Amino acid sequence: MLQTMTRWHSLEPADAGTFGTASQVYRFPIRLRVPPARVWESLASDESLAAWGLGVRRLTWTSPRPFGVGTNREVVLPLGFMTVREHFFRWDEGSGYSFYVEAANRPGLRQFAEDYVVEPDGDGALLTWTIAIEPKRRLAPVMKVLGPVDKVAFGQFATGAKKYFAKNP
Amino acid sequence: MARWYPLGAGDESFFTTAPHVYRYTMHLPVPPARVWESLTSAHSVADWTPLLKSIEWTSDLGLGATRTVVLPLGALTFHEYFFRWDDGSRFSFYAVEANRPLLRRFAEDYLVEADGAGTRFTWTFALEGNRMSGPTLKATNAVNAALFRRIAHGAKGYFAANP
Repeated sequence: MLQTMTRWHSLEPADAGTFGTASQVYRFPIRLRVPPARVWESLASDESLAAWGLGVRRLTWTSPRPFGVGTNREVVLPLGFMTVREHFFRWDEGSGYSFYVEAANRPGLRQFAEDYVVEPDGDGALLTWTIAIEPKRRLAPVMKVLGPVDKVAFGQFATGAKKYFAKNP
Repeated sequence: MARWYPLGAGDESFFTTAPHVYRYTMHLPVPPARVWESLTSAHSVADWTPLLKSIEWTSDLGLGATRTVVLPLGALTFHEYFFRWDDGSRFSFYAVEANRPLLRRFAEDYLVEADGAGTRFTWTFALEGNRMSGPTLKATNAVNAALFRRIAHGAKGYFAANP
């Protein structure tokens, strides 16, 4: 229903440096009681994060396997708030990946990128999730006010990940 | 090209019975008349926070007044109907329709009371999701609470800067 009137807005590419320089960067280390291989398996699965019970409405890998640098994905965020087209610019099989959003169906973002790192942590895994956001100037005041809300939102993600792997070890 | 999705009517009881009720009470260092003046001004609470992109009254003010509210990014637009209007102290609306089929019911209540030399202001948001959004609204409860809190507390910054 929303898709029929989708208008795409392009974002600028990001790179590893964006996670240090963007005006808003959120980093969440999440300790999980499953081996790193299990976390990676889930991250790279067909459902990926959509299985984690966070309200992601739809997640579609739009590139064929095997996935790697250059792979694309389309994700409909919770409540259909936004649909984003993601482009993976880092892919280290088994240990992490990064993407930036190439296009979104809503205006306001100049850059948006996420980074996932999976490492061994005792007999479990440490997933470090980083989000970098650079709003367009017009939206900067909104994003600034939203800072504490984003923090709660992304924090929910950490809780969701823990719950998911507790239930699906 | 806008398509409108109707919402169900609400009444006073909805502010206690809705599946999600978010209530924020705060002290404002200005007299109640100043708060009421701002609530009923041209941009109303859109002057308080960047989280409301625009507000436009589409009728005379008073019981039965109507308003159009647009959220940032055009994420959501509501047409609102004021079903309670106690001049100077309180008004409440429910959303009649929205440009996205996100909610079954949505209502807000604004209460302005004297509090010493200032005002005790209470802003209540009440919502009910539909079959599609219901479970997500539950899952995102903490986020929505933070969001509404952020909107409501815009009042503090506004009246500090515009006494």
